[in-house]
Amino acid sequence: MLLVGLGLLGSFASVALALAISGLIENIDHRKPIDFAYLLWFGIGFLIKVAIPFFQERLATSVSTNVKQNFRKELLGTDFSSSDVSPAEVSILVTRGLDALDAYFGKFLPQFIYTLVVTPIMVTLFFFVDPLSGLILVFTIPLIPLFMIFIGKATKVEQDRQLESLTKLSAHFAEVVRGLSTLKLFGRIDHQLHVLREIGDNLRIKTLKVLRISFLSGFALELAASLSVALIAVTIGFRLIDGLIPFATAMFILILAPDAYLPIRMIGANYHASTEGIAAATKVLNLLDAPKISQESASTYEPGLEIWLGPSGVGKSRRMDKLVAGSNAQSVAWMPQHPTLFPGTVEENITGGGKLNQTAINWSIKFAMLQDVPLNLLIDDYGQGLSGGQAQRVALARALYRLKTKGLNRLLLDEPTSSLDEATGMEIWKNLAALSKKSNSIVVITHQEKYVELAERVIRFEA
Amino acid sequence: MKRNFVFGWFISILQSLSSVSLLATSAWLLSRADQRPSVMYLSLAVVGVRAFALGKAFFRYSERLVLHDATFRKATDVRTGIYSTLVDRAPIGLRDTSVGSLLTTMVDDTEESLNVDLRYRPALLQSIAVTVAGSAVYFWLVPQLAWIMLAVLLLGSTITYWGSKRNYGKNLIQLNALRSQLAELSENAVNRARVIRAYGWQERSNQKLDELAKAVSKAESQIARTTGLLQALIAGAMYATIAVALMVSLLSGTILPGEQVAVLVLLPLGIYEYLQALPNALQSKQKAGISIQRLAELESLSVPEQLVSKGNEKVSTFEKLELYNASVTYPNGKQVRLPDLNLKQGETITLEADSGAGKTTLAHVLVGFINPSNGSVLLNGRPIVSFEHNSLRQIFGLVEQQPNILAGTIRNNLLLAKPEASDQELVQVLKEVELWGMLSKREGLETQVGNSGSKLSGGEAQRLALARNFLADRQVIVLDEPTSSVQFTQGKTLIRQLLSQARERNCSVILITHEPKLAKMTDRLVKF
Repeated sequence: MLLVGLGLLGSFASVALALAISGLIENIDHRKPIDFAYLLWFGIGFLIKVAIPFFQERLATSVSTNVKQNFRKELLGTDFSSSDVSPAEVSILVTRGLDALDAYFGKFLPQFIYTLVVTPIMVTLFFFVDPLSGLILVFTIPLIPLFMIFIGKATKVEQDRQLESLTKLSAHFAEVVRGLSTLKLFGRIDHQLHVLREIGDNLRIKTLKVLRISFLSGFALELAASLSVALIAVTIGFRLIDGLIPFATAMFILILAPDAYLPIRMIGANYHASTEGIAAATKVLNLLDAPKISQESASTYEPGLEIWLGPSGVGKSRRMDKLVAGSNAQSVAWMPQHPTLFPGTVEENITGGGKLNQTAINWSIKFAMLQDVPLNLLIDDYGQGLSGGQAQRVALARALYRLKTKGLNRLLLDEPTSSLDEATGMEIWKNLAALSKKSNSIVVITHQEKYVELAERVIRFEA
Repeated sequence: MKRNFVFGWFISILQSLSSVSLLATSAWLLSRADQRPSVMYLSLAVVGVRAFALGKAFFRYSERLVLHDATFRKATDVRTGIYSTLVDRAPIGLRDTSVGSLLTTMVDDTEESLNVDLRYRPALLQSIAVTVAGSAVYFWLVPQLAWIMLAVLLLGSTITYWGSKRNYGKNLIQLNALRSQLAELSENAVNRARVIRAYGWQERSNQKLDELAKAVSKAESQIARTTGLLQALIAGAMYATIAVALMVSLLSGTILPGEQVAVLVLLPLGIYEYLQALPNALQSKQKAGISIQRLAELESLSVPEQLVSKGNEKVSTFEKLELYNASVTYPNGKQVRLPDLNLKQGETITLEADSGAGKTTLAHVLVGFINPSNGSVLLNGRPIVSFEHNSLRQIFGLVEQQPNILAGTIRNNLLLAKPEASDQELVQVLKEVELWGMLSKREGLETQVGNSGSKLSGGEAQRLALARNFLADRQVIVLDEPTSSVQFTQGKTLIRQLLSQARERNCSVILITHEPKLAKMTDRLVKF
């Protein structure tokens, strides 16, 4: 709203300046004494014009920042694990997608409202000052959006296709870089270079075909605006010769005419940004509406060690996810199938960075056979720095630490020993069996049949 | 390539000149008409007004087309350039974190870097053109005023340029760094969302994100403030010029004809339209500058010495491979020992290695991705470094733990290994690796594999990778942890099949695994 007001203030300044400048030129040309009211108007217009850019850019930024922050928090707070949404998609939306909202909320929307308000005012003003020029405006201004819609419709499909192929090109390039080792293995390096060129050239030719049409909307816009200025100038010129219009009015109209077209032209300039913003907003809202994971009643726990066996893909992990979903999370300690470690030290990964409970961490490390990994070892963003087996044991220690410090008695483990060597795996399973005897409920998903004898219950999942 | 840009920029200049001329001619037309001359005196101006109006729109249209064409051409050049530099380092030399961060932004950087030619240069040239043309008109009419105007504009543009360089440069780098941190952190949070929720760590994770987001928006508003300031400065300079023009006209009294007053006063308004665009253009230049620098860094990376092929001998048949006491030094300084082993033509062996013991290093040495640094690695009795890397790759094939499947169809992926292969041949090899049953129910050779092979299971991807090696007639195949992504019993069947097909083709096989039970299926077990 503030931005719209600022825009209106700017238009007011334009009118004041046009009034002042045309009046002063008239004064000078007709050798009249200077009218000091014009000087005052000039001063006011000048000050506003200089002051506006100060606030405009900053306001635009702060508006979009607030919108972004709210969306981000909501997206990150939502459990997408059961829906089809991949984490990669969400993270692209959280970063790139939300940036696209910037342009939409910060630039396009205020510009749109401002144009809707200011254009009728300008047209009325022109009618009031010089009906003929007003008439020219009335006929030409609607042409601009009309052209834009018309040409926009004609190119929409092609434009979408082109945008798609642009993304495809970037994706293809990224894919090629990822696949460099394979290309090297099969001696296809030079061939791929050729392909890259070919794809780039094809895309260029296709895109330019589309652009030739879609830039037409800009052309129509520009043409309507500049031709109208020419039209107004020429008609006024001839009327001046015949003395049908005062000189100051003529000048005023000439100076102000471009300003009457400016708002609607700016919409055209921001239009592309807006479509991207709308697309991003739709995606975010759709995501938030996506089905969430259902929570399964937690009353199924019995003390003892329970093993879930079955071929991969029959839904063991999904079943366990339900036991962790929603408010269930508070009463269980869970270890996911993939270790999912955080950048930071091993210790931070186990404790979550809170206050250190020395007894609990010692117990967890011993239990998870983690003695070979120093606690201050740094794990980087990709979990590098640890071997697969070490990462698995860190994740196990993390679940155990939680069990101990929160005083819980339900432990859910999804394939805790799949990357470990036999001896270490066996030690850990023995520890699990012992822990289950102390009235803890432990559920373990595994593919390794050899541990079945340690369990009190075995549930077989059929394909 | 540069020629296309120059042509585009030339049109940009014509466009801006048309626009300013439109305003100046209109002003002249009105004030001249006010003097009630015969219509004849005005007709030239009327034609001029119409021509400039048409030109303004027409040049704008052609400018955009020409510049976009040139940009697309350059984009292809930049991409192929990057590709060529990356090739020599791949895959090992691309693993350093320093390279990694350059790689993640590479695709965006390519697009961003083009904005210098597409947005900044035309805006700058237009500003210069209208300023020069405007000053020329001033010089012609009132030379003293021209000096004042030039002084104001020079001062204004110097401050603008200096201010933008100083503020944008620093702030944009900072903003960029903050943004990528935020992106990284968001990605972390998204990827680990379930663990964060299950462990009740939301608050901490959100707090970090909020702090960073706040820092980002602070940096953003700092940049916005600079833009605002610069635009205010330009507006101020322009209206000051108008004021001075009015004053001079007023003082010069009777000397100046009326039509000249209007031109003098309105010219700055036309110029203003272009100068106003400068701050944003300068900002995009600074942004592009950061990207260009990163791309240059990427292109200037030297290839670590141990990745370069040193030998020039060629090898066409595999006889035997012997490793003794050998090790590899990675570009980051990490040393990895290689197992001692012997392999004869047609033999299959199991290499049992702990996870994390550098099991893939052996494979990388064999296919010439890296040279061994110590000890002896002998191929057919000759040191392996005396062979050309390309030549090694024609003997040794690699089925990686997570094979690299390219987006596209099954056919594309297979033709990669043997471009001239017939469909019959492709189907035959797919039958051998027992993929054809599954594929024939889908779209056969045309089946899409998805991005990075996402539509294939781990086992299917490995079969496809093996099929590629069969097609390419590799004589030794390294199978890296083929069971890690499937259940053990399934994995055993997979390996049994893979091995029997390899034996049928008289291939030697090195099976790398941490499952000792698999060893029974091969001729020998090598512990490491």
